Amino acid sequence: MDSTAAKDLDRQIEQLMRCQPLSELEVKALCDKAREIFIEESNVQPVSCPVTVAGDVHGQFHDLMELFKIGGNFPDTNYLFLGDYVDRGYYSVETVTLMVALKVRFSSRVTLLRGNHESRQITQVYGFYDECVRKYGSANVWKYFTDLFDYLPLTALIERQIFCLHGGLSPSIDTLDHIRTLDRFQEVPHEGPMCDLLWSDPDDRCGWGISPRGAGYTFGQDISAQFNHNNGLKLVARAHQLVMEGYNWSHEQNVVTIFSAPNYCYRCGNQAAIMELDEKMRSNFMQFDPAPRRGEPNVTRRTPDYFL
Amino acid sequence: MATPMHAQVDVIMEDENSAEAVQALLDRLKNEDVQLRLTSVRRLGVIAKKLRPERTRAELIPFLSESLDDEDEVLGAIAEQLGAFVEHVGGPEHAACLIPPLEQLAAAEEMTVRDKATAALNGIGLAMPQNMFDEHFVGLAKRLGAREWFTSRASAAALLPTAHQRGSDASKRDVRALFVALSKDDTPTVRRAVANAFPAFAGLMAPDVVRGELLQTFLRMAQDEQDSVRLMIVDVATALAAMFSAAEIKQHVLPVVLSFTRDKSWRVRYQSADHFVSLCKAMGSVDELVGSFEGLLQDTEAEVRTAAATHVSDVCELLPKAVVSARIVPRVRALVADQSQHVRAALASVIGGLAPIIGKEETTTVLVELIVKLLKDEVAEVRLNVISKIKKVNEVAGIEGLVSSLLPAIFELAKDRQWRIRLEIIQFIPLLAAELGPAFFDDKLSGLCMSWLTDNVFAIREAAIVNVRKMAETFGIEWTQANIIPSILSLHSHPNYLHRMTTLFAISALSAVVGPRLISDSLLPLVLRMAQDKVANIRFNVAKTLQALIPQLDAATVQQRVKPCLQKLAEDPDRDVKFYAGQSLALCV
Amino acid sequence: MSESPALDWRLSQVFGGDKPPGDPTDTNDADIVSAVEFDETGEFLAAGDRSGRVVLFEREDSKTDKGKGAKKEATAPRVEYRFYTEFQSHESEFDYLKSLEIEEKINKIRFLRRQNGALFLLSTNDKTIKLWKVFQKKIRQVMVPTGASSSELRVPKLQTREVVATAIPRRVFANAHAYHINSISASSDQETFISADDLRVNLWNLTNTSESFNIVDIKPANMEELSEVITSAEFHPQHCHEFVYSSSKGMIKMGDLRAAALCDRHTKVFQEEEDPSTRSFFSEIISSISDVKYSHCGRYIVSRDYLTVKLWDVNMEKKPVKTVKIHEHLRAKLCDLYENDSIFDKFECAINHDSTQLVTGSYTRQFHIYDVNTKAEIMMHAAKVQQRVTSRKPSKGSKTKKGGKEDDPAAVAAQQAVPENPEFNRKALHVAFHPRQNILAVAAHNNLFLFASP
Repeated sequence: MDSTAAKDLDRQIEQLMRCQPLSELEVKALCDKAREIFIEESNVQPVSCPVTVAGDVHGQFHDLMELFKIGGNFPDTNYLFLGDYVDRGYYSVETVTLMVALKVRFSSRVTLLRGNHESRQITQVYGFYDECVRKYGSANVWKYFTDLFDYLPLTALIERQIFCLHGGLSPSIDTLDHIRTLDRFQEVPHEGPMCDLLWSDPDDRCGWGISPRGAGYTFGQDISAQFNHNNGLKLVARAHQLVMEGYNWSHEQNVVTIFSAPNYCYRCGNQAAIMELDEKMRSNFMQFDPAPRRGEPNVTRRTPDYFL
Repeated sequence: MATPMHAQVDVIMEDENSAEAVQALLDRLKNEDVQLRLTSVRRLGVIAKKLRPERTRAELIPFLSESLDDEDEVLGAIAEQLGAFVEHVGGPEHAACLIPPLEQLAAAEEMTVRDKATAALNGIGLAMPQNMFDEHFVGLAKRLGAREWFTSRASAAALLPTAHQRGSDASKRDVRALFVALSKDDTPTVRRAVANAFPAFAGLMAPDVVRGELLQTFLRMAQDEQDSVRLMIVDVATALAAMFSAAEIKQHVLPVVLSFTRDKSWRVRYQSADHFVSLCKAMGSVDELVGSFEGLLQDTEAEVRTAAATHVSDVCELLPKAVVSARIVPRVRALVADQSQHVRAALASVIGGLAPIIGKEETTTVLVELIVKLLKDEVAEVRLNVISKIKKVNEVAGIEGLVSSLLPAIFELAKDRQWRIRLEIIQFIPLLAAELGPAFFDDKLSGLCMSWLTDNVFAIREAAIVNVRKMAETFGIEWTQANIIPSILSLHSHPNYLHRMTTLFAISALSAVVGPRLISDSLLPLVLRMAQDKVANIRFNVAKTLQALIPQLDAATVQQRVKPCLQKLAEDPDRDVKFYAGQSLALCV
Repeated sequence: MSESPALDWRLSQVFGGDKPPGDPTDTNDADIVSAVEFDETGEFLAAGDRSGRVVLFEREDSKTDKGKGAKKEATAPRVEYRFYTEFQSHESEFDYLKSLEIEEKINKIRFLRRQNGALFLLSTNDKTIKLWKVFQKKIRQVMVPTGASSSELRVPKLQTREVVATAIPRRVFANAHAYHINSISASSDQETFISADDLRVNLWNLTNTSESFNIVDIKPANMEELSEVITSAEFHPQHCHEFVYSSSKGMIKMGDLRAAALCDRHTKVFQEEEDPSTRSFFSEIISSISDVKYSHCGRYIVSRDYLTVKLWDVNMEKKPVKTVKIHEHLRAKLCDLYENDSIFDKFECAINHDSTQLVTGSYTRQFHIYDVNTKAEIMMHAAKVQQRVTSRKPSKGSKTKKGGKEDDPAAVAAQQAVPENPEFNRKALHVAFHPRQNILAVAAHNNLFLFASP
């Protein structure tokens, strides 16, 4: 990267870190550059350790800043995000723009996977579309981003041992090689292997089950153990589900869920977590609480100054 | 909100005084985009200069008068601009032409706009030639004061001090009458505006007027049925007292002040608690007020106790020591156990200030015990506040008596589960270190500082590094070299790259403090060695750290030791290492 | 002399609903009136509806009648309001955080005092309160002067083309209520207002949208212990430190902002001891207060529960001054009303300018007016064609009863006027009195009726 481009990006990142969105033109240019990077990445993008793995963020921008305070700054800390950058929270635009800008500026320090919310359909229902229209006056920015989402890698593989993805396993997929053959450059389909990877959840019951979400499947411990064994994996690390402690082991340590949106939807009261993997692949989970300030009116039980 | 739609940067013309540029500004005064209108309004002076005074008066001012149905932000900007427009309309003789638009703005429903308009009008009033003042300015104040809508009447109150200052004797009488009339206005907002203007207004009056109608107005307003009005009279009491003799204060003002401290509305009591120091000073003698202050410290409302506790040291400075010991210290003792954490937190941040007042002996026998209690408070903020103000206690009595409680309190905060609490206590450490001296520090706290450097949370490690630098500044190189550098350097072999990075960050932070010898002897070799690290993040941070070291090193060292290392890093397979190495190399000239 | 001299109410005007009432095709829910309020002068009347609109009406007749005001006439005031303007106050929204739809329906409208000739009003739906300014806006055209030489600067000139009543949102007070907002009320000093939801009352400064002070919080630590909700709240008409709020447990609590910053502890509570003999499964539901209002003088409080409307003296907490039975005939039907949810209907109540008459709505588009002095009572239909007014003399056993016989024809008529089977889907929920005259606004479905009395 030449230093003018880097300087420009550094300026944009600095602006985004203050929660100020970029102009529409800047977003378009950024998405164009990001596409060139994502298109080269694999459906099973190899990632080396050390790396810090984070789950859903959902437009909770201030909590993402909190995450960086806990885990360390860019580019000093390597990050792998498991998707769901947008929807629900009030700052999807700022959050996803920052993520993409960081990817373009430090492509080897950050890996971004696709979540089930990185889709045209879902973002029209859960807020990202409306937020784009509200903040930019048109849907153009929404279109740039959702077009870009089609290029996001679906899964990542850390040091050939930890398989990372947003949702979970699919009954139509036995091997990582099978995933590598999928044509991922498209809107998230309603069914099929690509859909399952972004939508499935682990379950206490064995075998495959129908997902209450209406997309993907539930999979039992037998399925995870088998999949890990077949592919020489130690662990499946995924996000997608709210867990109160921010992370949650399941399936006899075959699966871990990581959720990085504290007090999800500003009301769930959950902690968030990230998983730090050091050079020796030792994991350390770091929990964190919501950032103290919100963009909302402060409803206080202490008398505000203007009543005094 | 500054949305990206408005992010289009205003085109700045080469010469903002060119005819084209000014015409563009003029045209944009009615642009649909509020940001563009604002930009133009903020350069009204440039427009007026180009138009010359005659056209400014004949065309621009009437145009602005017609444009006053805009957003508050624009209206406020117009008011501010017009306040500085006297020269643009042709000097003081023409100042009156600015009154019509500002008169409209003085009626705006938005208080911020009204405030700006009255501020501008007051400035214009002061600039006006004397022979025009009565007609234009006093006339304006009277008109506003007689309007149907309270917004105008509230603005009128703000103009009265100026109107009285420069008006003729006949006008002065009218102005005073208007002041009294507005003080009886039906709308509380207007009475509040009168209370607000009261101190300035009283300052302009002859003594007999102050003792006459103004005193009556004060006494009446002190009884206002609205507590929102009464609470503003607290400051008027201070202002009037400054003009009265001790006997008059005692007769007229003191009873009002005492009644405020017992007002049925907690907001009035709060206001008197919050302004208690200035009230004490204004009343001259504090004897009668001690009882009131005791009352405020025991108020039923926590907000009032908080305000009183906040000022307890300042108030005690005005009291004889015996009174403090006998009457205030027992109240403070009760507040240490107050049920409201806000009261305790307020007390904790000032309690140290009592030490110099009550002296060494009583500090040791009484105050230390109370401080120890606060140091063990369940709320972290209370503990932090005590620690942050421990200095004053130390000056009086030494903190020996506190050490056995102070250290556990610090240690407990230092390992609080909430990282923000840890962060706050770290930020107090340099102050504490400076206060307690290196000996104390080596013994008890060095280990703590080092443990923060390996905290799990990045923000804590970052703050710990800043802390280390401040300690180095306080205690000097030798101390740093002996007590800190070894531990920092030992982190370079930490198994986790995030902690190895701490070594590099700390070296960068210390580079400007420790001097070239230490850098080239012990820091630089280590940094250069870390360039071999197998984690790219460490390698590019080596490049960044060298950037910080280069200005501290002599040219030979840079050329012989630093440059080869950076050249090697510039060939690194990792693109970020390459990038930062390249940046640093540019400094090796 | 008529038997009930004080109660002579006549229909004066009807707005809305082109179809005759009861027409089955007249089912446009969007037009259903959900809030009615007069401004402090009575010159303006506002109605909010389910589709988030606010419609303003302006008094027409008083303009032409000016100067005759002093003459006290025994005839009903001539009342004529005309459409002034309307605007879309609220839009439906989707709360993505909570995955729930927020209706645009206007729950309450409250006027502030007029300023600079403009009207100011607060309107709220379930979640968001807005402050509107309604004024005569000059629509101006920028005239570029011609003829001036091109080198000379051109100062634009403005020409007024027309003047249009315009509503602009001045402030939006949003996202401060976790539950549905049921009331808003401005303080008498017009600097603050309160907003109440099911569990909390918040105090706002009208100029500050970024901070709200939560002065009452009845949310229990454990929501399973929840047994009471706030149903309505109002500021005192003159004392800006005093407010009341009502609850689902039949209590009206008074708070004093002077006494303490937080008003969780009330300064007075108005509650009547329950008669154990009438206790039933429905007791708690029917004792829930659906509306509470201060009288204009601040001396009285009027409250409405499912079966009655009560008048309280602020100096008497134990017992209302008067309980007027509105739905006594429904007592036997509570089971059915519970089944069809009607028992949860929230009828409003109001008290007139001189605190002599109470009004509240009922089913079958009926509403009741009660005269505090004469204890006379009438029941009227909110209907386009004026129907026979039925009146009830002071009820039997009343101390002030003057020669009333057991078979008083008026009383019988009143009883007969109660329909055997009330039409539960045709209710008159919203009522408002003119602040200075005996003029009454009643909303029923998509109609707004105005009645007048001498």
